[in-house]
Amino acid sequence: MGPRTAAPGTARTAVRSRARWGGLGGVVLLIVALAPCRASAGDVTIRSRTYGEGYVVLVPGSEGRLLRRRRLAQILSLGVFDLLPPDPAADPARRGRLGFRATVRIRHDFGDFQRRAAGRAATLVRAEDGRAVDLLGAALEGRRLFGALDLRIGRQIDQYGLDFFAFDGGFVRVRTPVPVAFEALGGLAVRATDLLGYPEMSVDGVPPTEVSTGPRFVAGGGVLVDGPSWIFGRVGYRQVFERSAPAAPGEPPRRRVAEEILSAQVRLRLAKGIVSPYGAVRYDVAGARVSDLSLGTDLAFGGGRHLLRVQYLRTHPVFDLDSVFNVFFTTPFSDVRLGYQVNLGRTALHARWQVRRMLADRTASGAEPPARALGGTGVQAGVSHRRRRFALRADAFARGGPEGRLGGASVEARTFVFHQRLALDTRAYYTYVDGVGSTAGGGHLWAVQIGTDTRLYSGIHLHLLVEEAGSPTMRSSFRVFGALSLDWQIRGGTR
Amino acid sequence: MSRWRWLQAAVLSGAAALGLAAGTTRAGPRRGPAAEHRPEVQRAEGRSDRTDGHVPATLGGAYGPRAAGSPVYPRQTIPLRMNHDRHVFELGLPCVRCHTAAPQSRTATDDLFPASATCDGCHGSDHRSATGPSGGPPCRTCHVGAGARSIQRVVRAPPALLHFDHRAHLARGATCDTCHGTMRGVRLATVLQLPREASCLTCHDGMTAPSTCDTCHPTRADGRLVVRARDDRRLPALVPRARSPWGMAHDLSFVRDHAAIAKAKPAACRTCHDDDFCRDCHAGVVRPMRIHAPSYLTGHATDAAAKVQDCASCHASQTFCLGCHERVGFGDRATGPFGVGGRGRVHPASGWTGPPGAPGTHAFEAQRNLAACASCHSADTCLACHATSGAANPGLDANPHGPGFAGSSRCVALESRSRRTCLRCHAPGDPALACGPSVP
Repeated sequence: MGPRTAAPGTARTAVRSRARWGGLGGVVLLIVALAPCRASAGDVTIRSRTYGEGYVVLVPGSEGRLLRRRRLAQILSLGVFDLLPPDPAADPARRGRLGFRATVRIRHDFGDFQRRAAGRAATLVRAEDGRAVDLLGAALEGRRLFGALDLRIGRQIDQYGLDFFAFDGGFVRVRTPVPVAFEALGGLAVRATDLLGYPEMSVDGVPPTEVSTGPRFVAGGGVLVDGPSWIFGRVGYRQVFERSAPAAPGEPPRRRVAEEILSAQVRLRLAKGIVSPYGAVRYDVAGARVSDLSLGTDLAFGGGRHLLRVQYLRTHPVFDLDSVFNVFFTTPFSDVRLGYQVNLGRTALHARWQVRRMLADRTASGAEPPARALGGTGVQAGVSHRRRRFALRADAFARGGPEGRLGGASVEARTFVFHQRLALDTRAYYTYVDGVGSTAGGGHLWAVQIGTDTRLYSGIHLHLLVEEAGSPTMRSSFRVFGALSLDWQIRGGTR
Repeated sequence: MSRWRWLQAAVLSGAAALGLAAGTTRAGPRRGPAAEHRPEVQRAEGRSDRTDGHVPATLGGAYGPRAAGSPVYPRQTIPLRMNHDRHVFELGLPCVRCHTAAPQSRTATDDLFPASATCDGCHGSDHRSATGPSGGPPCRTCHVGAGARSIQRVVRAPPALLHFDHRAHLARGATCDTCHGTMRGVRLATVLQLPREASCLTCHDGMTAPSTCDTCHPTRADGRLVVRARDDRRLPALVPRARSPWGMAHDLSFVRDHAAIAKAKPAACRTCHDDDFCRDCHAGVVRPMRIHAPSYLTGHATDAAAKVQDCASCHASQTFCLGCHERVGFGDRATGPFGVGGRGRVHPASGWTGPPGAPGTHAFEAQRNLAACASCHSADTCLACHATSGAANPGLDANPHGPGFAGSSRCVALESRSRRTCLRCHAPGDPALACGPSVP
């Protein structure tokens, strides 16, 4: 199918009508087909999060102009599980499961942050925040169906691209008698401009106001090794594309790719869990380079009392292929991280070191880079102590690099009172920024939080929090935050 | 709305209809073990398992107080005197002599403590008497803290939060020692004599026996593990520690370092967390308090310059960053507080448009952190100079590709997949559009 302009008006109307009735007919058929089933929704989960917050933001560079934020967000998740009839003969750990879960987010900004957007900003704000309802997920999920089949149908997230990618469609995994499985996925990518879409988990690089409006398809698959307790591995492929359209007047129509990646992952568990190496790599086929690489290992020794973690991460920014950002010469980020923790009963001590390099990579043709590499180093230390009713954690960090220097510390404590129904939280933060990389200027940043977590009923919690923060550009700012969370699981039927 | 949008809507509606239809049609009797995880949970908390107290990931308080016990074996109180070594090795009694119900036990909720009547047979006591044993040994022979004729402390041993089928294990050739270890030198048996994960994994290696977590650990209805017996934040949670499978130990820096671990096996995270948990932070509407301090807004630019790879895991530059920056006045404005000469300008007053290779120029900075540029600018900003003079929107012919781009496989790959992007800077007939090894 071509873009919208390719079809004359009458034909397009007919196509829309056929597709609409076809879709509705399919839904009706599904309902009719399932109606006589002896299905039994025995488990229903309800999760609700209501967030409300109000605070002020000082407009950087302005003469003390404040933007007031008053936001309300509601996230509602409903799930229906154990849809398959019970099978007393089945191994409980290996029986098939079928369930459905949907998560909807409703949000609104009552403050003047949004209203004062003008010009291009207003267009962008409307595209991003104008729609108040986001469908974050809605999928029918089956596991171990017929002993060998996993599937998801609906809005879901794919993470095998070493990212979060939301799409509407299907995913299927077929297990084999040996510990090897095959996967395939397909559907339509979710974008900010879609009906009930949301922007966070789509390919980045083009503002919602400039993105092409045609449908974006996603297709992919993979092979994985999963079963033995010492190895997991997977090789996968994913492509996001649009159907053929002329790139410019006079150009022949072409199918356009928005993203094309190959990924590989492996995790091992060696020496009875003492050594656990892992790695993942993503090769950007469309960009002809490795865009994400992470390697690491955990070393647990002393009976698990000591934990040493080493990681190497390398990231090359990748954007939607519709963006010209992709054709710019860029260099990758590289991180080496080393962490060590020792657990002394109720107390844990932790130290972490990190060195970052903005590598001067070779150019596309292998030529020497035009400029040298830059880097930065950071250290961090933390301690936590936990008792029956009281917990304390303290952290300190320092970091330096081309972007400037930072140093800071934080302390947080929590204690339970009133028969474990009320938790009292206190947190204090301090950060020093030297201002080289900060548009708001350097100086001392501080913040204090006092909060409560009240268990109103089993599974129902009310979080209240007030905070006061200060910085050189904002003498003080006050924030009030509340969250009401409900997490229930209800068992229905006669079980 | 195009037909594909209708298809998209139909897929979502279909998934919902499948769930609703299956969930609301005639419910059959549910007497089977379909909710096999229920008894363990119910017994552990003494009532129905309404919740295990999940909290939004964005909120603080992850490092709260911790009560005694383990997430699998709740704290026990066993005020008894009992010498297993003597019973087993000196007297030669088999385990089933006292633990009579063990061979037929199917779940971890079964009470496998010896019944008091079992003791009576050898010890000469009579626990059936309401006034206490008469004529036998005094209560304190076995009961710690017992008076002459009264017992003030009772055994409290909540069942383990586990699936465990004694009968199946014995049928497969396991013995008591296989899981519980030898009783040599053991007086009172405690949680130390209960199976440990390492010993379970000896057989549960994925080949001899299943190694998935839900083989042994009870799950919620949606398949995720039950991490706590009930909604009490003090109870120890089932959190991976050192030597846990797949190196997922949740240490104090796990929030900062979990990306590489999760990328290597995303499904491992789903063992305990659902997609909503990830979205709480990665697509959240509330600032995650474990990541950003309250004053973070003021100093975030320094972090963005240094750790853009971390920022990108939650924030899309062309929506989240650009949307906010546009609202507060950053972006392509030449005038205003952030424009050239403004007091809040981001870029240096001079030298910003200098040649590549020199720090302090826009080319140098963009090569190292293009995502930071994209957080304020869209592609149009770049095209003003980097487009060719023959393009539909002419620029200044400033080549951004870097040396050797035209002859590289990268040029071929990009051009073959998204020629439209090339044509934003080049006219359709531009000879510079040619790619490949033969192109100089």
